[in-house]
Amino acid sequence: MKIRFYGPLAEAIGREVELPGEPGGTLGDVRRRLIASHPAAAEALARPAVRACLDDEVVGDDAVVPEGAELAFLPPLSGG
Amino acid sequence: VIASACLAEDAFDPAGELAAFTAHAAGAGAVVSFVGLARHRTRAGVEVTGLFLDHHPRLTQSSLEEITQAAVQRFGLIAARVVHRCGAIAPGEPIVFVAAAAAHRRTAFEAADAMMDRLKTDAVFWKREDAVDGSRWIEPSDQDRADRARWSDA
Repeated sequence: MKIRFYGPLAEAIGREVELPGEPGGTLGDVRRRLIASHPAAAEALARPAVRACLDDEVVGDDAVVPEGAELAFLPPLSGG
Repeated sequence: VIASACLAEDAFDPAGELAAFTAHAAGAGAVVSFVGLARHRTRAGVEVTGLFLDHHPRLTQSSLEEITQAAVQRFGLIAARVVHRCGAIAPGEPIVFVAAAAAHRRTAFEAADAMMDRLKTDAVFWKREDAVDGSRWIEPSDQDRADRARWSDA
């Protein structure tokens, strides 16, 4: 599965990461696997303010990842 | 179109935006607009070389539309417009333009203020400030959150 990143996370990890899919996994599982595979970005990824996003909807880490879903992690916003 | 929002990938002309907006705000007694510019100095006074505004391919545009439409509804506006830059922005360049047209001035002032407060915390952007002493990603300040909370019954 593909996971996209924005802002400071994209700078630390890259715009997109490919992880082998795990059936029945949650966004929290994905977050933990990313933290393990990207130790340099572990602190940034672990922040609760970094919201998980499933098919363009912000969801909790308990959301289950459906097959073919588009995942993203969104750092705190800063516009204007 | 009474509520319109534009994500601008290149420099835009706020004066042209205001002229076009005013020309289409039929029946309005008041138009208030605001232009936000990229600062030349960081909060600590260090020279800024540029800003980079990262955005999401879909959520950014929809957040701008939602903020504009919500202002029209809440304040009963005749029209509202938001233009927000993304990408690389030089110091002094416009980043954001908001305009509100209403029957009376108080409503137009409040609506423009409310749209800006919401843009600071709810618009889907990530802003990096590049200064001569290094780069840093900006997050909403406590003041930004307090400003946003003024409109939280929206």
